[in-house]
Amino acid sequence: MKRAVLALAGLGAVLAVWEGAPRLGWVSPSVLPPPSGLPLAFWRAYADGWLDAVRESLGQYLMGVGIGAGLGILLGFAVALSPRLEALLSGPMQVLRPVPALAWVPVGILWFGFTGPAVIFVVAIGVFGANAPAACGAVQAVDRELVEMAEAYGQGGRWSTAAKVLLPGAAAGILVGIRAGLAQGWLAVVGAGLAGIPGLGQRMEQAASGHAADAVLVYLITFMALFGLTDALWVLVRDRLSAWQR
Amino acid sequence: MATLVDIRNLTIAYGSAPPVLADFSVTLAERSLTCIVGRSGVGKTSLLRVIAGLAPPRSGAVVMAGADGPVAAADAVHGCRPLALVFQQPRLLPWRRVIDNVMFGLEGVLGHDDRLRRAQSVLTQVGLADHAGRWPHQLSRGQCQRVNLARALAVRPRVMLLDEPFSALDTVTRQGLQADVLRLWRETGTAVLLVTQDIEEAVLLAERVLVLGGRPARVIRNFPVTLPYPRQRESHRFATQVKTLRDTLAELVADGEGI
Ligand SMILES: Nc1ncnc2c1ncn2[C@@H]1O[C@H](COP(=O)(O)OP(=O)(O)O)[C@@H](O)[C@H]1O
Ligand SMILES: [Mg+2]
Repeated sequence: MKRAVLALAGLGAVLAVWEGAPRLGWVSPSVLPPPSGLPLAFWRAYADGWLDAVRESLGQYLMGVGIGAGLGILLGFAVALSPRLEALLSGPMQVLRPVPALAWVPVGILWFGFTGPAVIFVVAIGVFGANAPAACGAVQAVDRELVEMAEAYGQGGRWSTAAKVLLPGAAAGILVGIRAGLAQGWLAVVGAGLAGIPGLGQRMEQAASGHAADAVLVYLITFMALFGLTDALWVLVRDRLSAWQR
Repeated sequence: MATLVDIRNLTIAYGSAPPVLADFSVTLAERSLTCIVGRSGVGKTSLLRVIAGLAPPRSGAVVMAGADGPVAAADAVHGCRPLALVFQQPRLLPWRRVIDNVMFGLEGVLGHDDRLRRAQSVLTQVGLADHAGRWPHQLSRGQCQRVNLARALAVRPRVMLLDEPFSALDTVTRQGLQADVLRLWRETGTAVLLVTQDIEEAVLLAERVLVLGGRPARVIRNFPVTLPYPRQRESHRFATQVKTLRDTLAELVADGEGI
């Protein structure tokens, strides 16, 4: 309770300084517009198709996260269970791992043009990169004695072991990978926009080129809210899946 | 009594290492209770794993009465499995409630309602009926081991294999579980093969104690316990039997039998 009060007080102080700085002439409002101007800026962005941009970017994001996480978890499982596949993929992985996620943006543009699929591609790559190793590590860390127990009780088939022991046993680690992937995905959306692919990121970049500081802030806050939302959803899912730990 | 499990000339080895067990033969009768004792590393767990079909022997076979071919714990007939293994550590699935852990071995064997009924009745047998909805981490060690036992009983095995099931428990809990195993053995009519390091436990429970020793290991003593059940730890005859078995083991060590 006390903590929450202090947190609110801190937030209030930041807002006060933020509002005061441009008003008192410490900084130019074109560099840091006061928060009181935000509702109007938000309204202008809204009239300019803000909601469509949110829908579009969120759709691309979710699609990319779905594909990247799905494939990443599948491959992570496969690699964890097959030493041969692990050996086979260790070479390509060594080569690809150091490629920074945003370096895939030009590749996406090259392959898909300045389109939605390019964004989906870049998001999926980033999410995949976070999920595959996390899932692989999590499956490898599942207690082999539980796997043997499952075998002794007739649940040793490939699919029943995967569904009844490996997946639930690896869930916590897989979830950590998904959370990292969710952050990577937003990074990719912003990066794709800055590179000129239509969407929220591009609008933000255009606002900055046009020196519309308040609009830049509107999009910054939009990304904050979207990231907060997806992360909150993640927490919800995590809490549901880890009920057994408390 | 009729033979239930016929273990014939088993040789067990890991990779190219010399065998752990060689030419090992034992029969278990229906409804019998046999204990195996032997130093750690002698091959007791390896033996149980092979009997349960979790690992193949290098040679030899485990034959169950009424079965045509080799039998594994994982096989299921008419809502039962022929063998069940009670592990040294409980090996409960931590993300499943107690009742769902007990139903685990019946999945793919019985429908959900039958599984639930069976699991509930077994939980009652081990005294945990009112813990069915708990998570494993909410149980004590002894209770976890009871769930481990219940999971085995739930598949109505013809023979139950227990691998040092009480070694990690405190004395009071251990004695409670020993009494439970005896009671359940008589109630269910399952044959029991129990591995233990504890001589007193073996004399308390077993109709027959097999002493494993040597390298590769074999049965170096077949020691019948002639006391009637229920056995009293405090009784003079109990103490005498424990002492006799201890002396036998000491003699074997002295004779270089390498227990
Ligand atoms: N998976 C394994 N791979 C190789 N050697 C093993 C393995 N499991 C057990 N052993 C060896 O087999 C012997 C018997 O082990 P174990 O059956 O666990 O003995 P016990 O249960 O009597 O303590 C030991 O020497 C042990 O080192
Ligand atoms: Mg052992």
